[in-house]
Amino acid sequence: MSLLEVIDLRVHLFTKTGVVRAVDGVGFTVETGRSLGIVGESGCGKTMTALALMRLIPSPLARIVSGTIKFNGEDVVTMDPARLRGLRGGDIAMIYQDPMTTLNPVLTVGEQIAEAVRLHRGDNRASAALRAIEMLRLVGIPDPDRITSAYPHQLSGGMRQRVVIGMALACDPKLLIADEPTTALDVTIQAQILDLLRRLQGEFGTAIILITHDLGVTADLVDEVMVMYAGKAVEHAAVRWLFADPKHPYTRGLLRSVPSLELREHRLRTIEGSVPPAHAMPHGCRFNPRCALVRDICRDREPPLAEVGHGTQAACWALT
Amino acid sequence: MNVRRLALWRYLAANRIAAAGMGLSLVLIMIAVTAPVLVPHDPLDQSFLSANQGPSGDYWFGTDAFGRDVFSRVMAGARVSLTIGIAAPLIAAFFGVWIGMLAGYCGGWTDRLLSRFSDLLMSFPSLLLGVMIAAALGPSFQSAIIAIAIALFPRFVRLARSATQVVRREPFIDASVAAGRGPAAILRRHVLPNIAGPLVVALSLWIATAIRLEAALSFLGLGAQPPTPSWGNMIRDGMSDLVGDPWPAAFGGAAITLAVLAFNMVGDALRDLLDPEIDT
Amino acid sequence: MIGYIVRRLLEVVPTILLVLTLVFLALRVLPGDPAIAALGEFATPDAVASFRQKLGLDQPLWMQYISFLSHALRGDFGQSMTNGTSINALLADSLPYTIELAFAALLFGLVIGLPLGCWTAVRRDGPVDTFGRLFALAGFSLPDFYLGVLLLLAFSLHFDWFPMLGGGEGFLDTLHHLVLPTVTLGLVMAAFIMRLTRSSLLDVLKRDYVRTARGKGVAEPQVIFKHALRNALIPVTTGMGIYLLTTLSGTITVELVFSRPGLGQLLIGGISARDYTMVQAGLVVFSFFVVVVNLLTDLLCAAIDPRITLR
Repeated sequence: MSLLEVIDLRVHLFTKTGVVRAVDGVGFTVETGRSLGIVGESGCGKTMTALALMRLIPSPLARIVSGTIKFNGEDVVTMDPARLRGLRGGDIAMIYQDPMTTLNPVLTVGEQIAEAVRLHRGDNRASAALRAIEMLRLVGIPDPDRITSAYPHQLSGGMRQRVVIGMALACDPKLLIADEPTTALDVTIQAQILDLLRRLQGEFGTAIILITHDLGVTADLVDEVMVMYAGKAVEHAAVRWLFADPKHPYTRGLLRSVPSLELREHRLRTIEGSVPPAHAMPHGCRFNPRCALVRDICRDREPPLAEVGHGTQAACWALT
Repeated sequence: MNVRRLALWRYLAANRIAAAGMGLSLVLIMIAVTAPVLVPHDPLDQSFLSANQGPSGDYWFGTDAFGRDVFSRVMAGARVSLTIGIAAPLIAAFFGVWIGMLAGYCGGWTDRLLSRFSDLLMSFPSLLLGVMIAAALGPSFQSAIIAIAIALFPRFVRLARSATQVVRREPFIDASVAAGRGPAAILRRHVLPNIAGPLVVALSLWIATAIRLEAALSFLGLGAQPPTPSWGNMIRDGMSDLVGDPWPAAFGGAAITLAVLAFNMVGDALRDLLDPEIDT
Repeated sequence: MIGYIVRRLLEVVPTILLVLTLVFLALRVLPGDPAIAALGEFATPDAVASFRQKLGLDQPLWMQYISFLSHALRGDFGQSMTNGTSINALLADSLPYTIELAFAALLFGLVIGLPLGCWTAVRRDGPVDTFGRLFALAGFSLPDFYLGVLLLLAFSLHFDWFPMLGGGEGFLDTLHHLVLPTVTLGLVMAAFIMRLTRSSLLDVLKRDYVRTARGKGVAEPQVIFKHALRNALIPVTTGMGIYLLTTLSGTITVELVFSRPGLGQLLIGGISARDYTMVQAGLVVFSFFVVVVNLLTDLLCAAIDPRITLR
């Protein structure tokens, strides 16, 4: 049994101007101890997908309208609230994009970690506090005995993100969802955080779902990649194959647009056009207005995900 | 311009409360304007025979201790209260906006000085400030206007100042300066249109406050002096005979409440229309 | 931090001087001769002259100013022009009534407003919220003195549950006299506090760290009370000074409604009687409260949020 199995997930946003189908039929699996990268540009639905996994979608603005999310065989979508609370922070934990706003400004960092420990491991105050210090040390924060009584605003962005990671891992989760953990940080700190994640995964065997818009970040850390565009999954591949032989025109466009230090190029390559607005999605394949391989059927019907070689799945009429 | 008017009608149609507020305010203003002509009785006409009567066919709101028709006095009082209530914020806005724009545009010592002075004024509760100024100038209709205008003045300074500071940072301002435009012209052409929206919202909300302040000052005996009726002094006079004749006080106060309510609703409606990011 | 405290304390000095100067000038601006106003039109020139001399009104303006400043700073307000009583004594008698009303109303407002604010935020758009909105609307529109008159009519004159005037002697009697005025001022305060608490809490509930708390599996009551409320109450706490000043200035009208012998009564009475020394004293005392409360509020804000001191 897979650790996590997502089937046909649909999340809709209910705005004043209409319904936005932010996640429109996305599915994937994650096995114990393995990692998946979800890649796509802003607005493609990757964060909504991540939030849906623990039912953290901001209702009433948005809602999971259909689909199944099976964690260890239990469906998260229909789970009762008490069981869900046990799952959140316990077996599944999440780290978020902006370390500046993720932590509560009026509680010490130690208390924020200890709270999770008390909730899920049943520790008393004293032992939870000690565990918090241990976690701070684990994530590489210097002088953890002192930092544990510090408030978030006294720490730098990188340190805060480490605290968030420590808070997430405090209860030995089986699955860690990392939503753009390095986007808001400097490049040098980025590398440190990714190293930390890799090390922790090696040590604890946690499965990781890494959400990012930066393809390069996935190269080192994950086993598989899912590329999303406009609410849909367009390609699913093992990370090696994604880089070696990208199949979907969007993926190829993404990889081509990364400037290379080796090749001398005079112009930066881009993908023509732009992401269609949420309320004006094109008919058929959502990528068709920008695709070089477009044909009539693309404007008519949405292509399903299909095997296109070496275990890669892609949703493209031109490939099948 | 047409788009805005359409939006206003659509909004009013959808939002009954806002429409009611706007309607009520207009009615009150009409009453204030037409009071001298439309009053059923002379508000100053005393008649000891008909003193302290309850509402009746002849005297819709009853009479006060001097036999004066309460309904007519409420109408006449609208004239006083609304004149002060609308004039004072307008005066405050006129001076406040210019000072605020000056402070926001110039920055430096000008800004610091003006802001400090404005903050000092604002640190006093409005009623207290109003009482102080009315005490200094002597109780009268005019001193009430001045007192309330001074109390509201710093709010407009703050509004204009922060809006100016935001616009000041825009690159097109530097372009205008480079082109040789003087600060007055820049302020008028670039800053003023940008703050028009929040300014209108602020004005209607502060009109509501001004009406309440005027009522309080009149109640304390510091506003329009008797025998001129104002809603506040009707309550004040009514206090001496509350058991026997609660009508002047009751209807005077109801009028104040209605007026404040109406202009508050207008302000809220305008805010929804012109400044929709704020979530109340 | 210490630097900020020192700076802020130093700022108080010019502020007080400025306020005292304004009060001094304000009363000299008044047209008309205070002597005539106090003694009447038919007073003899001798009486007028000796009156002026007694009050130092015959001295040059700058000397009057120095004299006024030195007396005010020492807390000596002289004598009432109307009846010659020591103003300090009058102040001592009336201040307690004003202070107790101001604090009682604030307390009442907090006790009603805070829970109501939380409740309407959490049960947003429900019937509770509608009630809250109506309550807020009434609170903003109904003048405090009108509410006082209505309450007086109903509970004092009609039902005779509460006394109609005065401040009361002795502990229980004082409380009895405090009830209606406190409810009057307090309900209006409650509306303000409820509005602020509600919008503050709604704002905080949208923040990322609330999502983080839920993502950790924290139960909803804890999310609201431990994680959200503590942050949401910061603006309320820092606004406490303003609220106190609002109730303080509200006492002026409410004292008139309930005939409470407080500071407001002294001031307003002084204004009608053209009792300049009384009015001067009243204005100075009120201003003093304003300056002190603002100072304490700023210091409190700095204590709560260390980021302010860096400016």
